[in-house]
Amino acid sequence: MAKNMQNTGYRKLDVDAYDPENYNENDEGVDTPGLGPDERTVSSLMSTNRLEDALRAALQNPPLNTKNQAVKDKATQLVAKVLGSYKASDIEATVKKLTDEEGDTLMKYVYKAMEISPENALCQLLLNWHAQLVARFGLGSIIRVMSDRRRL
Amino acid sequence: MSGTPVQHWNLGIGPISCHAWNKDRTQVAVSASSNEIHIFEWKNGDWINVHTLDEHDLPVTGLDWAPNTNRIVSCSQDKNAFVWTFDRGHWKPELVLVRFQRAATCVKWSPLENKFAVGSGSKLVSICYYEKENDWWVSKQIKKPIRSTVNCIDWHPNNVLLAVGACDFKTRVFSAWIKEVDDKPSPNPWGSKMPFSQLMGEYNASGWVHQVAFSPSGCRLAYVSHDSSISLVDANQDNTVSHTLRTTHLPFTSVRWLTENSIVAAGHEYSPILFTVQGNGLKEVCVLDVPSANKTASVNSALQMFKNIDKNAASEKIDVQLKTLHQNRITQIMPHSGQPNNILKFTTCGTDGLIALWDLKNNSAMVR
Repeated sequence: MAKNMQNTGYRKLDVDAYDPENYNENDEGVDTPGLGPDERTVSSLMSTNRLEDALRAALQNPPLNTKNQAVKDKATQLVAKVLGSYKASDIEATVKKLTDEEGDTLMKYVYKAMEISPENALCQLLLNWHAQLVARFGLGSIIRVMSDRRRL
Repeated sequence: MSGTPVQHWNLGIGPISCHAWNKDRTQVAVSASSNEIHIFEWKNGDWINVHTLDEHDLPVTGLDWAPNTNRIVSCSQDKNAFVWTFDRGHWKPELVLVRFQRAATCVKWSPLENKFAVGSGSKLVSICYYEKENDWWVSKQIKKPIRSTVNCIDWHPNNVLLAVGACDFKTRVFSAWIKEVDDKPSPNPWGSKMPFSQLMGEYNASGWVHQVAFSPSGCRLAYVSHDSSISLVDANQDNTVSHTLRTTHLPFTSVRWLTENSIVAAGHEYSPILFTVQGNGLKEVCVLDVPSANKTASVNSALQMFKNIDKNAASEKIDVQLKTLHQNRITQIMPHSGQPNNILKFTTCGTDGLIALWDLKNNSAMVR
């Protein structure tokens, strides 16, 4: 047996990486990385009870393109905090003022918040938000959360 | 079926994946999610199955009927495409060398009918043309940079450019110029140099692209994708930017231009929806459908009960009819009457086995 047969290092080579036609879905969407909303702005707006501005600020720069799940979770928790401080009766009016882009982003946050937040009371409120978002943006907004590859 | 404002027929062959009309609209070729292609002819007020073409081994995925040369091209999951010519009362198949390793997904004749394009799951499009010397349909392939299954294709009216929508969330415009059959193309808003497989434009979507369509002039391109959106590229303004309209509906699987400024789209929402070009983007106009009040009220009869048992496996008289005309996903929209830049009637086929003929002239009755 030839001597170099004992060297099996070549088996650990990722040959697919050398295939020029190999499709890597991670190199999609390399525009702005999106570092998440500015927490300080959001908290200060919340402390002065300007909830609508706080929500708008929280929906800025969603960290959709980052691979760091912690950043995404942190942003989700921040948005959930804003959503949670709303009174159920104010939700409809606020949702009516959102743009299409903000509506889709908020829908993503609502789904993610349902996934990671353990509190019952918040989930109840999130379902409220969900219902209002569907009423305003239709089933299309749910489809967009499911079909979009840039997830939270 | 004259009681409702929209004519429709259930051909009784199950879910219809695609259909194609002949030139004078007296015959329609239909594929019923099986390996067979049925050709129906309008005789004595009903559609009669006059031919069944069963050369494919697996379900047929695409059909197109060239009006002037009267040839049908079909493609299927069995990786093949056939060109069918009508000769002495029979449709004769000719195998095409499409060279696929995966299923063929869609097929379309070019406007001059001297070549056709076939999309496939092997991440490429074959442009097929007839080689006289060999008496054979041969193909040239567009591969790069398509990175997933090709879902849909559409020809530019100049017979050269081809729009391709794929599962890699992109719509692209390629040159499909074949020097053996085409004259030199003249410059247009999409570009001036058009060697074969040249990429003329690339546009993003947030879902699989279900269908692409060039406008009658070829200067605009519309596409629908699985994120419930419809997008527009206007090459007269800027051929690098697409304007996307996010809709509130379920995703569209089919789109077609009715005039240079208006589009109809349909899909998982069961009703066709009209859009117009406004400013840079698109605007939703209305949903087309039979008004719900005009729907025949459920007749309390033994007949209705047996129909229910038969169709819905329900043992009681329950009303499971939706308020829309189509009872399931619309799979395709085809033009029926009118000029390419002013379509007066179009047809839709769907998973519910219906073919519906929508008359836009008398559309006041069907706008919901």
